[in-house]
Amino acid sequence: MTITTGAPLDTEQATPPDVLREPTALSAIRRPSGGGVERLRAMGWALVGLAVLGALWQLGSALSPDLPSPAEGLRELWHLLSNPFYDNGPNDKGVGRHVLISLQRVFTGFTMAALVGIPLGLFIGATKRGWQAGNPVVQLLRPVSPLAWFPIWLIITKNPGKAAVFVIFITALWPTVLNTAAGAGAIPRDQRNVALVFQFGRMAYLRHVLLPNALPSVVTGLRQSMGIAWMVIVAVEMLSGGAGIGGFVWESYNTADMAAVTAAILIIGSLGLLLDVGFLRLGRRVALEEVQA
Amino acid sequence: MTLVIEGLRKGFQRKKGPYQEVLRGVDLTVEQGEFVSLIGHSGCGKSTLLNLVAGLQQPDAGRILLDAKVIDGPGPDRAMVFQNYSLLPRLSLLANVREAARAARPDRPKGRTDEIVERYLTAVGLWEHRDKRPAQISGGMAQRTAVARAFAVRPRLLLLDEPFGALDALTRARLQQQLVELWAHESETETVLMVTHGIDEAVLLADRIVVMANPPSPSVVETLRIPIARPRDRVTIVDDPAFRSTQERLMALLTADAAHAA
Repeated sequence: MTITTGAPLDTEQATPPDVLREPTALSAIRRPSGGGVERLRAMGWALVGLAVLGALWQLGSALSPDLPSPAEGLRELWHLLSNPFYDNGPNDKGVGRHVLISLQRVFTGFTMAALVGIPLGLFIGATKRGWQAGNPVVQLLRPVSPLAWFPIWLIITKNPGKAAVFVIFITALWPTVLNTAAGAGAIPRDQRNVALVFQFGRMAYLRHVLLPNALPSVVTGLRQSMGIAWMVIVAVEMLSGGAGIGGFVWESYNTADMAAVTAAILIIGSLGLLLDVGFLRLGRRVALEEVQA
Repeated sequence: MTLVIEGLRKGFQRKKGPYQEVLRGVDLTVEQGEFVSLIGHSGCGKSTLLNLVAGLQQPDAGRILLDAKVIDGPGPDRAMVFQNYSLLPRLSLLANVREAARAARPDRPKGRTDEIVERYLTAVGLWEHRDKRPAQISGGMAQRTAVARAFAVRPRLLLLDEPFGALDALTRARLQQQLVELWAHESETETVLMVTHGIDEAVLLADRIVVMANPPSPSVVETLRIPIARPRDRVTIVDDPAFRSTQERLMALLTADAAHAA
């Protein structure tokens, strides 16, 4: 077999797993320097930041009377969360049901993107021909807002919910493909030489060289994909209307329930944070496995 | 295995620089069972020559023949020990040796391969460490694993690319000893080609030393035979008059080349 690589990604060393360094909302609090006092201080400053956010919100609602104040938003949040899963027909569901529908769409589209994107990324990153054929296509389609695909999927599926899933698929596809390709293209030269000299077959190369080197980048790609997918689902559901948290936001706007809109923003943000932390943990585990053996 | 190199040329386009011909017509014959060292300053093309023999690169001109057959890529008749160990980081030492041996010799029954793998890991004193990963062991242990990996293929030509360059002096001495013992008693590996920049190492280990140089000298300046009987002892060898004269000759050649370069 021949082991080649997409030249533009060819570097001597594999990219280090940046999942260990990338900041999240919690990383300032987590950073273990200085012990308990420092930790308390960090949490204190986090509260200061949140207080500034609340103050700006308060100011905004004072300047624009249509906007709810933080107190009204939080009261609405409490109200929504106190009975999240009620179901009075298609036009009156609890916010929890909307969230579940959105999560389901995101995970379905995301899983499809992973199933397609990881093998495609490995192919593009690990083979010269794959790079030459795949890279222009990816670079052409990647800058397109995933929402532009909505009409295409709608005409194919005739179903806004399904079309939303496919939009998420497109959303999550590019970061997964590109990161996987970057990881697969950055196999250290000495590992490639080992595979060449000892004449590793296709499967041995895949298992022992390509996949282990690509894995940290794959997880980074999945984490990016999930982050963007969670943003895009809200937009696409505002477009499609009906069920889902984005639909809920649009519906609330149309019924002039701005407190529900602000409450939904808080819910969306919290869930996005949780998803991100989950993937960060996964990435850390993948990276640490290598270090600890 | 007899290695014949005829009129070998290889050059590279340097980044922001002129085309540089690294190998300028190399002719070399290594007889079956010979241990040959390539020595020279960095940039003289000794590693390139080794890579060409390994089949990792293709020559611009000339041929490399192994037992009268032109090589056109890597093959199970050759195995290499790399300068920087080059173990696969996620695999245990055992798996590093075993996967390479299996890949290079797919026709050999698995049980037979496992036997050979155990034998060489034991020979380099690493059998009890077989489940460790490369990150958990020292450079010396890593290079011993790489030596075991190369021997476990049972190649007929063993290629060594500055195998002990990154090790401390004591570890290097022990590994040189192990290598010679493996080569002499343990293995059917017959021919060895070793790149080194250590004069003493070359004289201690090699039957013949090929001195290579940078332009404007020809690639191969001189070939020296080491007329010192085996087994050689690293302590007593320095008393051999041939050791001193060879050492002095090598030093003179390498110093002359360094003067050229400057």
